[in-house]
Amino acid sequence: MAVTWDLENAAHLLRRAAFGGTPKDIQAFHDRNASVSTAVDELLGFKVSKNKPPYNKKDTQDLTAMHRWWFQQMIGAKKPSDACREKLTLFWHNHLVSGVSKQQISNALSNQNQLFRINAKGNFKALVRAFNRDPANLYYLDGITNTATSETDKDVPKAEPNENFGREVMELFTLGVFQLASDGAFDPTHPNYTENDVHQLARALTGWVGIDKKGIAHWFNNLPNWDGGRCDDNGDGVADGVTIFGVTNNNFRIDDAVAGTADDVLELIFSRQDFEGNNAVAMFMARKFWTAYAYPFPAPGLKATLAPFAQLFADAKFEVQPLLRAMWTSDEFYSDQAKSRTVKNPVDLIAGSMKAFGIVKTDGKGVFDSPELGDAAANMGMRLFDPPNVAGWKGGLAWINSGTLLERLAFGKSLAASDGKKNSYKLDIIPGLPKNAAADPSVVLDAVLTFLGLNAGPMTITDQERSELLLYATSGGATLDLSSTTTDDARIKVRGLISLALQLPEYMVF
Amino acid sequence: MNFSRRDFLKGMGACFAGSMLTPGELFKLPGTNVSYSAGARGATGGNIVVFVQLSGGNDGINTVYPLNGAQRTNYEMFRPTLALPNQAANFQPWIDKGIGGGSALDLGANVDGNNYALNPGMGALYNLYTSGKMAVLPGVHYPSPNHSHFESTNVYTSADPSGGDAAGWFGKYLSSPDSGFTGADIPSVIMGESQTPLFTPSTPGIFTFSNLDVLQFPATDDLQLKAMIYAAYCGFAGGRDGGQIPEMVKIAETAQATVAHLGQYYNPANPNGMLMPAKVQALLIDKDGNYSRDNPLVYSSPLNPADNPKVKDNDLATDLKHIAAVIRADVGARFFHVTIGGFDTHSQQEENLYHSALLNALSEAVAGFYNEMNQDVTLPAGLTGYQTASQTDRVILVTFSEFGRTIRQNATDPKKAGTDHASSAPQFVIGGKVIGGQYGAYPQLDDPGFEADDDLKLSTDFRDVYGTILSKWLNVPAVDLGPGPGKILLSTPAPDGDGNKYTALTPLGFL
Repeated sequence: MAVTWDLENAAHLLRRAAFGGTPKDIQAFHDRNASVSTAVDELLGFKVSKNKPPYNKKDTQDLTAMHRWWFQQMIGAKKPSDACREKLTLFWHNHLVSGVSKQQISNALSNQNQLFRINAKGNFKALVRAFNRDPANLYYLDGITNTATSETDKDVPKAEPNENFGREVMELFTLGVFQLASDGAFDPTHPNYTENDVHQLARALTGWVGIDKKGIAHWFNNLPNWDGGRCDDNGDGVADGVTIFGVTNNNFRIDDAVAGTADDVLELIFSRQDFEGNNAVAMFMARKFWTAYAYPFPAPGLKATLAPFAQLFADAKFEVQPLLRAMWTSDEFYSDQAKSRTVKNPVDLIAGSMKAFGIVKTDGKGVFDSPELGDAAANMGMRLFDPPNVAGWKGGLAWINSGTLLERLAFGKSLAASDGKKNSYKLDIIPGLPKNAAADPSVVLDAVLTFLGLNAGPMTITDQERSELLLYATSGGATLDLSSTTTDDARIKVRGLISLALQLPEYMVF
Repeated sequence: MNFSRRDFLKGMGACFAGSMLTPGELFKLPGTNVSYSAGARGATGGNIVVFVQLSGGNDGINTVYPLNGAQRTNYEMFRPTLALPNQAANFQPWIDKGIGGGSALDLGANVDGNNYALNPGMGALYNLYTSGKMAVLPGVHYPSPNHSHFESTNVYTSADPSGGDAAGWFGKYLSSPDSGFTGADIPSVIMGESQTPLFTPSTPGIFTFSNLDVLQFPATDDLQLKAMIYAAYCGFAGGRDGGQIPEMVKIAETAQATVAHLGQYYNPANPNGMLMPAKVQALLIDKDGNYSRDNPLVYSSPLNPADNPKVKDNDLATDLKHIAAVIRADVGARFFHVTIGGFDTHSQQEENLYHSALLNALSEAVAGFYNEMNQDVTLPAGLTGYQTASQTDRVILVTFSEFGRTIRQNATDPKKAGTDHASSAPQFVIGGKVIGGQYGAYPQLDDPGFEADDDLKLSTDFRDVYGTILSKWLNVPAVDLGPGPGKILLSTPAPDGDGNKYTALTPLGFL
């Protein structure tokens, strides 16, 4: 069944695949595309970008410049497709995770951000291959100390690998620790690998070092060097076989292997099947994309929903673009579940709210008297380039607690109060609102709700909420007179309405 | 989740006393017409538990390490550069770094006859051990260890070794009739950015924060707007007709719990006057009356950097100072969770004594917390309704980590050497009523178990630790602990992969 191409679905696609826009933006996006198919092609047709954030050379722990720049890219993206690219870049940041906390590597994180941007819709397997030797990752997951030779005598190979990357590349980046049950949750009775596989993979991944022949550590662009990475269990100087998933090879590689050849260890991982014959990597990644863009697991029958996507992903040799195209043109992507069960992450809340009101010019700094955007997101639990651990931000209801809810409230109120005087943004309240002395408050309220997507689809607010918002709108006068440019009372009241609407539980999800 | 709109609106009673308010009544906020159930704060008194989570997988073998015997020989063999010293002459690096003294912190003989010591950075906790206030459980874990940070954390927080139960074991306790709490109570406080699965799902409320100064509504001149925001956070949105959206319901519930605390601001008639968070903030204000979690307490405390330089720049100490203030404020909060990270030491574990310094920070913070709670404090005039006497007889602090680390170090170069994910590790329990000592054998380094040959076996099943706390500290009847369907510890008593079956609680002697 073809997806109905209407304004509600156009708005959903634009909010989820990009960062949304004003009602006018949504209307234009709808009108210039004849069907969901061309709309998705428009979004995924973004130009590949090699941009990367500037970083503080003096203080590599200071992320301010990187935060400002990235928020500018997300909020200021002129085309929806550019915003789509930035959201995918953020997806990869939260999938192939590295962070500033482990080492002082903001330069490396800037380069990694570029890697994700370049490969945003490209080949997943190629991205994992590149990530294996990405300096930020080599520091974050200790690839840098997982060397093949003894540190004291370069002629002596060593037997004990550092397992950090070897474990996480399977657990978090490609396979998942378990295979999926029918509801999409992990099924603990079907592990994807053994502890021995982790150990063996770590051995196969040895060799990337940041120390050159003169003993100088190369922290950033020059890293890594390769020391020839083969493991030797008995120290006899001969590389010993590595056995992963029952396949033995004494020359396993990720980086310089020819894809598909016998010594390509990624080929082994990417060809794993689950107990029902699905490609395990494709299934795990289908769930990851689905969680990020549609709705969370567990959900009854989710695995069956994902299976065709996983099949397509595997058949496309792990090209991301066709996978996303299939998902975003599917009926299920436009179901009520997909429109209502994802808790907005702080970046979606911030960037989405600003774009909803047409704020596109930003230097990334704060609104009104609130913190810088990067700090506002951090206060809500999402400090970009500094995820809590290698699994990234957990998402869903983990975003919500007493403190973070109040941070969301504070941001919404500051945004609503942004009048262009005390801050670098201007939230212009007039476009789309009736400008006459006798404006019906319910018409004004409807206009505000339209900006926020709260009067169509499953997130339409309840009658009770509506009556209470109207009560606020009409207190102190029966109309909202926006005709005069000299009296501010009605404008303040409208800003108050916006502030309230931004706090609705409906607005916290999409 | 079957949560009807009717149930939801009923739940709002925790927020607005009495029946449903009409919209017009909302405009009486803030004002005197709103009262809050005294029960909303949870009853004061009662035993307190503070969980300190060592996130990343703490290397237990270098937290409590062998001093002599075959265990020492094996320790030095498996960890040629990471092995901690047993000779007085070799402690100079710890002395130079200012985190240790000149000799091993000898815990005395374990049941295996060998002696073991605390990491040299843990002198402050050693003092608690020698004064009998700290229990050391050298080998705690669960059968069939999972080496994933995230799966193993799930096991530790759920008490289900299969990882199949998403509910936190302590949340199950909080929600059980044994706890005596209702949905109107808010006995749990989490210091941090997000909710730990340990406490969830919980019928009583959970209050999570990293900084009390965010816990206020934005200042606004528009009192009606303020009232409406307040109402919005009270969940005036309510549930939704037709299909419930569980995420949205949960958001509204969290908002209610938040407002129930913040609402105390708006209740001048409340007999206890200042309450959370104002009552806590009052202990952490500077001379200008400004609150910050980094301020010293208004009384002398070993958790104040000004009074005790050893806790300077110690985030855990700051968090525990905050928790101490909440306990002294006597607002009904009894269960706390706080996290210290940085334990995932795959590499450079003892480069510049990294891991020892991390354990030193843990030790200074936890011992500082005990000593803070153990003192009688004098508060400035005007601060009444606080617990000023020693509280240590009603407080225990429990440490846990998702797993210990491999028996062998993973590189020979001391600059690079680290350890990888493994299994059992020591747990500590500290408190005035704790019966100090070692409980259980130290696992044999040359007798690895489980799937990987670098995993220590366990000597104490983690459910026995939890069960001891539940039964002896929180008075939960044994029949409700399990295992068995609907029980707090392990709802399904299935045998694990090694054929072990947890069939009954074996209470430990530390309480």
